[in-house]
This record gives sequence, structure tokens and C-alpha cells, in this order.
Amino acid sequence: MSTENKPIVLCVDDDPRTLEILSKVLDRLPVEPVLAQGTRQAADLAQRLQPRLIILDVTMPEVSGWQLLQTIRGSHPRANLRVLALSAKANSAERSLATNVARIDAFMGKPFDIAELARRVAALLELPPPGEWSNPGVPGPAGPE
Amino acid sequence: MTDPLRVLIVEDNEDHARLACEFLQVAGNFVTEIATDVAELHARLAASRYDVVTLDYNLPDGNGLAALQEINARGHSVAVIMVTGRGDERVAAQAIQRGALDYVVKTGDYLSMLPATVQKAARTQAIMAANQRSLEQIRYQALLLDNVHDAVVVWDLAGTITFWNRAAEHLFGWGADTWLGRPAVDCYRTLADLPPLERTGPVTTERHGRRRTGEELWVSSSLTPLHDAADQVIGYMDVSRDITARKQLEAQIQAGQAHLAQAARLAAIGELASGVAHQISNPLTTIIAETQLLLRALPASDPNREALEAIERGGWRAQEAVQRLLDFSRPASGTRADLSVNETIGHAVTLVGGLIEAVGVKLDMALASDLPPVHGNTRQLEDLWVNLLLMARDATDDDTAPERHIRLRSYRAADQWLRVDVNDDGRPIPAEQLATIFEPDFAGPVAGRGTGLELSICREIVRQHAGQITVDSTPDHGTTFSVLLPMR
Repeated sequence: MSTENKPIVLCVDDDPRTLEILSKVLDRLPVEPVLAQGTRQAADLAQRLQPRLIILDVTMPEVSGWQLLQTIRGSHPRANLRVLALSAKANSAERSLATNVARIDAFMGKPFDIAELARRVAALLELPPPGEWSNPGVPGPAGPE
Repeated sequence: MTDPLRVLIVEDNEDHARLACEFLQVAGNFVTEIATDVAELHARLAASRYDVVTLDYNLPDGNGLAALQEINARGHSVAVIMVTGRGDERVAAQAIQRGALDYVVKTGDYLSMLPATVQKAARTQAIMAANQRSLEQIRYQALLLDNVHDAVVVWDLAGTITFWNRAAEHLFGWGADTWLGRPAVDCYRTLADLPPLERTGPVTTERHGRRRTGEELWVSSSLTPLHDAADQVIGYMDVSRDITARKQLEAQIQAGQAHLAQAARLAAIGELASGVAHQISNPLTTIIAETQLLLRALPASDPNREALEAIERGGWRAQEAVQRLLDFSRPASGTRADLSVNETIGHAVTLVGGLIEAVGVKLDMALASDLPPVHGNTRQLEDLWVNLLLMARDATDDDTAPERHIRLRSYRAADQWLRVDVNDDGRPIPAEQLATIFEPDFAGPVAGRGTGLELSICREIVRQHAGQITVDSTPDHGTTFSVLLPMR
């Protein structure tokens, strides 16, 4: 499958290790991951590459993830841009704010389960479920979805 | 020299009238006027004030008895002396019955007796008027006492209640008919403690008691000894004012201050937790996700899998602790729902279980599995258990005993109550502190537990859940805080 045919997934996080993990997880899916460590870079890439999905840490210390999302959405002509928010605060209030007020498509706590992340990404992009991830190493982690 | 007595001579015989005037003026300090018939009598009484009226029985336009009745009917305050002819003593008796102060029979020397009779009548009249004023004064004062808003209770030296006003009836719920004539001691044993009586001046105290209905009552009371003219104590008067609302408000304000202090601490923890959560979430993401990736890369038989799985589990546990801390420090919302008490206990133990084990205290839990839900606020109940557990830890942490335990039990109590006991075998709470242990103490820890505020917060949380909190502390059985919550 050529790069042009794969949907672009823009990953935005201030932590390079997290970006690397996201990249490793997304490599298992038929998508083209693009990594952005800074917010300015993220806004540029979003405008230039027109990603189908943005995976965004909304609890970065320097800048509000929500602010960035607003900027990207403002310059993004595609109505079908999907957003998956990652948050260090994974309580119900935060989740409700994200889905109801910011109207993002999916919300996950951080840290996250990689199989769950892959499943969510596939669902958001209407890709077939990632079969090889269905046997996690540790059965049923107690962490948030 | 005193004011002259004003005398009205009512006499149709002008010679007799003039003679009477002359006798009086010669005898002393009198001012005299003459009325020759009943009509003139009433006209003069209406126009001027007189001390004494000498009233002839036979007048051209009526008799003296009818005139006397009319004087009384018109409300004139004047002494009347009936003057009758010889043989009319029966008239004299009737006149006395109808309010005349004296009578004179027209005999040969009656005029010489007239000044003394008039003076005596005037004195009698003055005494009667003074009596009347005193009576009115007494009635007025009794009315005042009855109408003041403060409860007034009076008892004599024998301790017998002699006065109980309407406000007392209102305040205590008992009527005067219950307590008048009964011992004040019995009364105050029922209502409120009596302050010491030895003092000479008024003693003002704030006292706690109960109404007839059993409702709590606070009064500000001023107890004053009553003295007679010789300055001897003849009894006591207790004037009480209802300050229950103020006292309850004060208690609420104190609880509110305790809450504010706690809220400020929580806000600080919240800020800290928020920062920690963020800083820790990235390394935890690395730990968990990289472990998961490694596990997927390893064959099922690889001996290193076990260690990796332990690393992943540890990562999730750390994540859970951070989330609990975040949740705990978030401002509580007022929302209530049906909740599992055991679950709130579980969250609290996640937060503080480590702190308890860190000081070498063993936490034993026995949570009944069949408990119905409780209607309440998750956050508040978590606060409750966290506070109780941390205070139990405070009590046990410098104990030198080798085995120290905190026992946490949840179970179904009688009726519709769910009960949670938090027991510790640390230092017991001294008996004299047990009574006030739930009052906020801004000075510091109560019996070495907490900061002095936690228990008042616990009580307030339990109160908001329509429950009860009690404490029991003995050297043998340790200290147990018991919380009763109504089940759904």
C-alpha cells in the first residue's frame, strides 16, 4: 500500500517517548503516522497534510491542547477530521468536558493500553479491527479505557 | 405649709352653708365653696377638683343618696361626707354602703366637729387613692413581666417557684400550672443546669437544656437575687432568653470554618496532584506501552514475560493511585446518587492504605458483600473514610507494641441501617475528651489524632447523609468510630 493511499494520523505530544510509542502502535495499522512534538509544528503539519485523525495530548504543560485543537479545526476544511484526545486526567468530569464541550470523537486516559488505542484508531478511521492486537500480554488491565 | 383642702359644701340652707364655711376657715387650712342644689354640685365637680364634699341629704332637686351615686358613676375621686337630719341614721348607713367615707348628723354642735371629720375623710381618701395607684402599678408590672419576650421564673428561699411568665411557658413548653408551687430544683433538673446561687449580684450564663418536647435548647440566663426593703435575700429571679438559633449557627459556622480549612488543604493537594499526574503520566505511558510492546514481541514461553507483566501491573497501579489522588482533591460536587459504601471504602484505602502500612500498622478489612446501596455523595464518603483511617493511623503510629491493627468493618446493622466501624488499638481517647471529640478544635489534634478539625468534618458529612457517628474508646477494646448510614 503506498503512502498516498494511507490515511494520515497526526500525533501531537510534548513527550518524545510517547510519540515514539504512538508511532510503534500506528505502524501496525494501515495508516501514515506523522509526529509533532511542538504545537506550532502541529498546526503547520495539520494545515499542510490535512490528516484524517489527530491524536492529541490535551494536558501538555506549555499550551492548552484545546487551544491547539481550535486552531487546527479553524484552518481545517475537512469536516471529517477525527480527534482522539489523550489526557493525564482521566476522570469522568474531564471525559465529559472533552466529549460534550470540545466535541472530540474519542477520549483516552494516559497511560493507555496499546491494544485499546489501536482498536480505537481503527474504529475512528473505519479500518478493519487490528487482529494481531487482540491477545494482550496482560489480561484485562485495571486502567482506564 | 401644705396645700389647703378644697371643700364643697352642698347645702340649700344658705345660713347653714355660710356657718359651715366659717367653722372650717376658723379651724384651719380649708378653701370652701358652696353649691345649693344637686345640679350645681355636679356642675362644680365637673369644673373643679375638690378634696371633700359635704353632702346634705335633703336638697331641692333631689336627695343626697342619688347625688352620691351619680358622683361615683361619673368617676370623681372625691371624699364624700353625708350630712343628715336627726333620726336619719338609716340614710347614713346606706350612704356609707354606697361609698361615702363618713356621715354627720345635724345636731346642735355638729359644726364644731365638721373640720375634724373633713380632715379625716380627706386623709382616708388620700390613702385609698394611693392604694389604688399601688394596685394599678402592681397589675401593670405583672402585665409587663408577662409580656416580655424573656422567660421570667421566680422562686423563694424555700426553692418554691412563685412566678412563671408567659414567655417561660413559650420557651420551655411548660405552663405556669405545671411549675408554680413546685421546687425550682426539679424544674431546672428537667430544663437546664442551674448556675450557683451564692452570689449577691446577677450571674449571667449560657446554659444548655431541653424543651418539653425534648428539643435542644440554649438560653442566655441572668440569675438575680431578690432583696426586701431590709436588703435581705428573699428569692431569686431567673430571666432566660432563647439563643438556640445563635448557638446552632455558631456550630455551623465552626463546622464551616473547619470545612474551609480542609478545603484549602485539599485545593493545595489538588494543585500538587494535577502537576504530579501530568509529570507522571508520560513516564507511565512509556513503562506500560513499552512493556506491552515487548510482551507482544516475546514468545509465550519466554521466561522474561513474568517480569514484564509485573512491570505493567505496577504501572497500572501507579496510574490508579494518581487518578484517585486527582479525584480526591477535586472540589466535591453536591450530586448524590445511589452508591456502594464498600466501593467508597475501597477508593479511600487505595489512597491511604500505603500510608498506614508504611508505619507498620496492619489494615484488616471485613466488608459485607450483600450491602444495599446508600444514597449519598461518593466524594464526601471517601473523605469520611480517609479521615477516619488517617486518624486511626495517627493514634497507632508511635505505639511500641509489636502488632498494631486497624480493623475496618462494614455490615448491616439493625433495621434499615448500614454500619461501618473503624477500630484501632492505638492510644485510647481519654474519657473526658469523648464528650466533645466531634467539636472542631482549632488549637490542634484531639487525643493525638488528626489536626483537630477532621472529626467535626466527619460529623458534618454523616449529618448530611442523615446518619449517625459515635465513638467508643477503652484500653481493652481500643477506639472505634462507628458510622450508621440509612440504606436505600
